[in-house]
Amino acid sequence: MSGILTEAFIVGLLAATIRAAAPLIFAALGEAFSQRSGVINVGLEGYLLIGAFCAYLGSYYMDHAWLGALMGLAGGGLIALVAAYVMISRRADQIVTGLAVWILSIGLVGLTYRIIFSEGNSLQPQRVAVDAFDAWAIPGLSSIPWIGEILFDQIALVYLAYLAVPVAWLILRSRQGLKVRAAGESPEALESAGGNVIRIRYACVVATGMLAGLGGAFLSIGQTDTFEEGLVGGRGFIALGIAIVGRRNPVGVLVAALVFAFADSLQLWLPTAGVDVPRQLLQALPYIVTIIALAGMFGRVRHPRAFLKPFVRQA
Amino acid sequence: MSVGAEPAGVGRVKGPPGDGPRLSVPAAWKRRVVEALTGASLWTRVVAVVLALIVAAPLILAAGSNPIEAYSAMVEGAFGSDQAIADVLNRADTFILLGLGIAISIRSGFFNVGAEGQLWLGALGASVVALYWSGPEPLVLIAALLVGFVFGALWSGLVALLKLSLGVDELISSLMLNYVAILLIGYLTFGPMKAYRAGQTERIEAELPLIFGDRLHAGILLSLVAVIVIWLLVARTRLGYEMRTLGSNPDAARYAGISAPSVIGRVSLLSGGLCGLAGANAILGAQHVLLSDFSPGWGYTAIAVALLGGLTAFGVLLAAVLFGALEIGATNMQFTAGVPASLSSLIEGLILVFFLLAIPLSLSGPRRWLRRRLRPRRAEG
Amino acid sequence: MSSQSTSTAGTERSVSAVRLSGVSKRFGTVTANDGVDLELARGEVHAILGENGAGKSTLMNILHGSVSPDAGSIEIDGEPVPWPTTRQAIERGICMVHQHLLVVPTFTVAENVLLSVMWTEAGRRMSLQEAGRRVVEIGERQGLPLDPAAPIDDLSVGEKLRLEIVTSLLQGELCGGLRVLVLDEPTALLTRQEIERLFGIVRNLATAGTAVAIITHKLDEVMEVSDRVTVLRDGRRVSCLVTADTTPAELGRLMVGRETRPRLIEHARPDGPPVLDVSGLRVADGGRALIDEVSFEIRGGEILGVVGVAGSGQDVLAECVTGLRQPSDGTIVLNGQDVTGAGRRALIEATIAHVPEDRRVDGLVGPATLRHNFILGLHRRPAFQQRGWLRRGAIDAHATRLVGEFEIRTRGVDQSAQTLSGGNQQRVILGRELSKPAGLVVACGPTRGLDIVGTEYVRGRLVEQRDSGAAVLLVSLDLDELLALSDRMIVMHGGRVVGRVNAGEADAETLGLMMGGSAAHGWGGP
Repeated sequence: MSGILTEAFIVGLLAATIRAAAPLIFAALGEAFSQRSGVINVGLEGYLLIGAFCAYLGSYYMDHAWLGALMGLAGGGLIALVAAYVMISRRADQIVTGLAVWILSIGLVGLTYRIIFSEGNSLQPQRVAVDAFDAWAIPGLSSIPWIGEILFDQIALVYLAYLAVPVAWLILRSRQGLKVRAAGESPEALESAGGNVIRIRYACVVATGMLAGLGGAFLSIGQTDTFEEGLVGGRGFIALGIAIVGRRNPVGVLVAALVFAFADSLQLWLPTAGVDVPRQLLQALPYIVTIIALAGMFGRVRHPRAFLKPFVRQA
Repeated sequence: MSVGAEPAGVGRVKGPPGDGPRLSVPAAWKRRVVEALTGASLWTRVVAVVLALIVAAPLILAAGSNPIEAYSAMVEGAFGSDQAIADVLNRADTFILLGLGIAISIRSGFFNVGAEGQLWLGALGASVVALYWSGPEPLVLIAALLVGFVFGALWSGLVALLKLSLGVDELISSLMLNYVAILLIGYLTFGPMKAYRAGQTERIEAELPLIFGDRLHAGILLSLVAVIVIWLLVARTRLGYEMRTLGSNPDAARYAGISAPSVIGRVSLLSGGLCGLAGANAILGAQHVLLSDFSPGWGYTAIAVALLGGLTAFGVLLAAVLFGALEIGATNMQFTAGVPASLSSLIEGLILVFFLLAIPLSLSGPRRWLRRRLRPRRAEG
Repeated sequence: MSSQSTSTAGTERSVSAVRLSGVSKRFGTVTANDGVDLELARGEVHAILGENGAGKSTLMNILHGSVSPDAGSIEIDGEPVPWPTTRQAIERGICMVHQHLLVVPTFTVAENVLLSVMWTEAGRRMSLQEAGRRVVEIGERQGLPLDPAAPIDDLSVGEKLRLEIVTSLLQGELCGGLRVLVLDEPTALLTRQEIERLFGIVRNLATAGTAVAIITHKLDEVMEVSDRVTVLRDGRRVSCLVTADTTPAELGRLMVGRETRPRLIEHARPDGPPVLDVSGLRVADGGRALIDEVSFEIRGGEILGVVGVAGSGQDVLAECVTGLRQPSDGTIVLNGQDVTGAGRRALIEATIAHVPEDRRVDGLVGPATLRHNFILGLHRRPAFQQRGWLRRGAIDAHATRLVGEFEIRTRGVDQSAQTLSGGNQQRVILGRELSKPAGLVVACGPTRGLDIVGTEYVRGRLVEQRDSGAAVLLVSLDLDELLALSDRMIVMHGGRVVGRVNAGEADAETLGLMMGGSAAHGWGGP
């Protein structure tokens, strides 16, 4: 236990927390908007996976991490568009569609990954390192003792994620945010004023996909430089929980994401401090914390009035 | 975001009355899920499968192989030999039991996506009994299966309990518990239950008897019995009646005095138990050891099986065999045609998505379009 | 019979703001509007009068662009134009205040206003502060004060109406003038003072040149505020009159129909203990009372009809009596036993037959077979299940017997309920409910959507029940039906009982007045 109170441990743990929260923030911010407009993206896990893989591919072919991230954004957006079509235009059940899109993503990524990266007859994919993001220490700020290393020596994607929080907050309070909220609370009122609920929901879902794509990019070319099929590890579902626990509010999402990221980072860092807790117990922490957080809300979750309801225009 | 289970008794909020239709969301969205899934025709499924095979073809080409060759290799790999058929049926067992569990819960309006976790827990339960209780083999087997069932039921019951008492949404909690289950078994197989090699237990001596040749084990009989039992339950018992009513029309269920929490509580236990049984079956029948990577996600594939099977017992049976054939066929195809076996996962996902797309389409789109085309335009004032 | 004459007030009166011609709209098998003509002149207050289902809201929704008509044409300011979308309608100064106040409950006043104007050309760039400012400005000018920062939830119904009006006024300002303002049943939940204030505003708007259309079923309001009135019935325009030239009685007659159906049955006044005794029943939702001080009793062998326009509280009453809703106050005594708040299951076991209001929502499981539906609610009885196992033979026999007895046209008991015609579906429900030995029959809208044959059949069965000694509570929106079948009637308005009549004592006219809350039988009284 002695290792816990050292500077190396605390700084390392907190820096890891800041890092680990980034993909969660990306995914949950988008999801917060989607849910406010009345749509749930159960396939968020799939968006992350496709984003991660597209980012990896992009970096592999174009040998540039930023271009890879762009590909990740595009990939996430595309798969979300498919989900949006099935849920919004075809009005299929949102939960079932989300699960279907997720299963589809697993299959698509698994197959394509093997096709591209297996050598000869082995059909076991090679692990190929690609151009990934390097930590980008912000000059000046990163020299501040303790805080500098935690907050200002991260990769670009992490900064983006945290920048996205105030941007999201501003959007939510703006006219656009008004439209989104109206689409989820009272689509009839929106339509009777001349608005278009369908378009708004599509925009939210695709935006969620794009943000999740960036989150996926972090997972594949952000914190590592190789790809692994299980790299998303349930973060998409945790992000669903974060969106709800954070009351679909950018600040709430930020806080919740940090809490889960902390639980996640503990499992990497506690062993280095000589704490002898079974690895899997620590790994299970984020999931257990999610359940506890939801339970702590005692069902007081207030969903937007039109949540999960496909919108039908009377004609 | 729960489906089904609305608290009974408190004053029902009805929509505002008015004189004529108004802009509104359809009140029956919840009913549509179950209705659509159970009502979709066989034709819809066939179309979905065919479309999936077509859409997957370009990727096969990308893998450097000929789709026709690949698909025939799959068929060959699934049905071409006794061994292959045995493998298919052994895999189908797992899907049948899982699919049945998922089907009855969705049918009642309660989305059990925790099948994967219940599967793992069931495997654990069976392993614990088989490894640490020395008794006559038949008794050990029966006990192991029972304990597997119970472990799965408890894991699912936990989800229902969280939902009914604390209002925790069952979708997220069951998904979270899946990961917890996997990690639990991971801990045990790397720790207390570990054998000479980390990540697995000792070999489990108790085995389900083989019933044909040297591959096909009795699990298939178990699953067939389960199919019949579930069919009887859903079609012939009072609980089945209440389940079907609740899932199809929660309002009518309320009108009929059916208590949603009571039905959901019982169904979730049974559902989890079936998934746990699937885990026990996989251990005792095929794997004979508890591995830390015991399941590659069968619990999730089984969701597709349940949906494609239209949430009925016999539908699940057929869909399970189809998916079993897909997967085993793909594994064998990998060797002959050089296409990665993940193709089967992709096709499974595509089938499901096309099926979901096809349901609303079969109810409206193309039919209405055709009708408009075929009828002469009426003169409008 | 349509009479149009020049109106007497205002200068722009003869210029028509909007003219609808030959408007027709069908929803599935229901004809909502059938060749309706309507002309709204500038500067007039024009009432659109009709019962439920007459087609008033549909017509206005078509004008406002949220529903597209099957046939018909529209002229704005004398010029034929294509049917506008909602956005186009607002841009042309056609604004609507909806019956159910389409506001977003979690927004503030300013946010709601902004939402409503941000889709117009002029309002596109408006900021939230600007919207708030305009709200205050219009509010002061028109005497409709509103606090832009107030959350909608805090507003009373009167204030929400004020908000919608201010919103429409602002929309009008941004789009070159408020040409037409449609108010859909605006006074439903207002106090007397609020109504007077509303009418004052309406008259001011008309004087300033706006054509105000008020959808209503209340005769006294028509008389009070309108210049002309168009009466709709069953989707058709029956008449367009100058208000000053007509009377409430004539309007009432036009609204509900001249034809008086011949009395079908002998009416009874039985003695004996009441089967159902309801006393002081009250249901409160939030701050509002949905029903209040409702008391009545029904004896075996009589039919009590509950008369009222939709939303007068009759559904809530029926839900309480059948156990689907808990009353906040009052008692319900069934056959001498207090069953207030007993819950649904207990009341199913008691001798109640319940024909629910919306058969597809509550009464039937659509995709399930007739076998399934015939035992809905009865599935726990020993006749149909034994220790958890359904007794299929008994269920089959039950279903087959009922199909025969109630003359249901079907391929067999295996057919799914949703593929049956409406009339046959209703027979299924009737069959199921009336085959229970029932002391009390609660029938809600039992002939809704049925054709003549189906309607006569259902009515006949209900009378049969009465004749064999059951007490029947009949809740219906069909006044003819209530007049024909009821031995006694209570009239509900605004959640209270405003009138009690025996058969033969009242006709369509009087009832029309009572339903409209008119003074004749206790407007605003208990």
